[in-house]
Amino acid sequence: MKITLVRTGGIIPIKKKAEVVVNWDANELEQLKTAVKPLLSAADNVRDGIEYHIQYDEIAFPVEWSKIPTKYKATLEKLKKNLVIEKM
Amino acid sequence: MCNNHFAPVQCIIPPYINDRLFTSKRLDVIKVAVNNKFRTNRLYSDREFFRKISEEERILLKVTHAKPTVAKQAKLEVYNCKKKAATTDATLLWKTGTAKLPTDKDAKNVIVAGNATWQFYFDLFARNSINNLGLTIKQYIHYDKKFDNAFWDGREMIYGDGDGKIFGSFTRDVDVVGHELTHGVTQYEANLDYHVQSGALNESMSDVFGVMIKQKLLNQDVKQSNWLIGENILLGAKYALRNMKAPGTAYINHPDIGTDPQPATMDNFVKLPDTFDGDWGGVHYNSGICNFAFYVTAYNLGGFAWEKAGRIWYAALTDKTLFSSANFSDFKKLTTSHAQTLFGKGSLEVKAVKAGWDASKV
Repeated sequence: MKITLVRTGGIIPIKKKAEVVVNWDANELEQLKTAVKPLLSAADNVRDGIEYHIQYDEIAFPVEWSKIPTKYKATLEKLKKNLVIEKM
Repeated sequence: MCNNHFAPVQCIIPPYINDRLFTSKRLDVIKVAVNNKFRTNRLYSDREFFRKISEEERILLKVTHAKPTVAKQAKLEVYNCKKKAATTDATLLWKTGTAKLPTDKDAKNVIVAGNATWQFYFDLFARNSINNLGLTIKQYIHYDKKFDNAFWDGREMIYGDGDGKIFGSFTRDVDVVGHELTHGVTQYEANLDYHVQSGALNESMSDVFGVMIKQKLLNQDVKQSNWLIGENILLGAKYALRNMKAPGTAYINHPDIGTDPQPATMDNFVKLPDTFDGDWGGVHYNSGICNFAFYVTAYNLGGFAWEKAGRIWYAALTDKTLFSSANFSDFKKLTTSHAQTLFGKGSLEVKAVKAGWDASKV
């Protein structure tokens, strides 16, 4: 399955993306979604904050970076490192 | 309650006793009773009058009670995140009262800018820190690896070092530090919703006060200022994060990030979805419209922006009637109303505010 890490937000609106093909099934992605769910939306109390989302198929869910389970950490850290700016 | 503390009898006499004094046969006692009645009536009418007037009118009448100031100097703390994406393990690098400044350049930057921001709000508006109650300003530097952003997390400030290619350290511009700390001020005042127009207003407040904090530190008037936000953060001599004088021109055809998308006028309002993907309805896009209104107002008034335009904007931002979902038009009305209160109806200042909003077509 192809997943996309999307980074949005910041003091100037910049979108960054990186893709990777993983062998995680829908169940694992659902577990990941639950594990990394932020307590609050960035727009609730953070100003100029960065948000990360994982997208696959038609689904997108927010990621609180510090909550990523070890099993997925290396893949997502690598994706984060490879994020590319989408030019305006 | 009573202004005449040196005449205790007059201070404590209740009305029913005062009424009895009128029945006295002694002229001096009746005189006291009349005086009491006069003072009581004046007290009631004064109290009613002051209950209804605005903060600006209080200032003009010099009757504003000095707020008890917990601190008369900024209280700052600077922490080093040591390139981790968390503040929990950060170590304290410096705090107010420590004579020796840290050697870390970013720490020095945020100390200078943090102090300048606190001083700006205190000197001009008697505001004691972000929450007006002497909050310690906590600033976290070296957040994450090559983190290209700075943000206010609702309690403290966090700065990245930048990637070194497109962005330099986010501590490099006083206006950006002022911008982020002003998000705190807005949070403790109208707490403008971070969505669509109220979100763009929130962003604009941060740019408006951020640029004035820089101008005051550099002693620049409206003509000397370049009205740029983050000119040292976005690397390259011809780039900045935002241009308040000419929104949409801070970076043009940048090889990595393209062209500044900010509009200057309402007819070019950028309609984006109110989602993470749409910058919450374009809060960082459409702030250009309000930024331009402020720039035109300040420029037309001349001199130092903080002396007139800044006072008007601050009065509007801290107005208790400014609600969290306010739009541009609501803020236009408030700034016009405060310009009238502060400088008089038909004054040049009122005309300048109107011209500012007209220029941005709000």
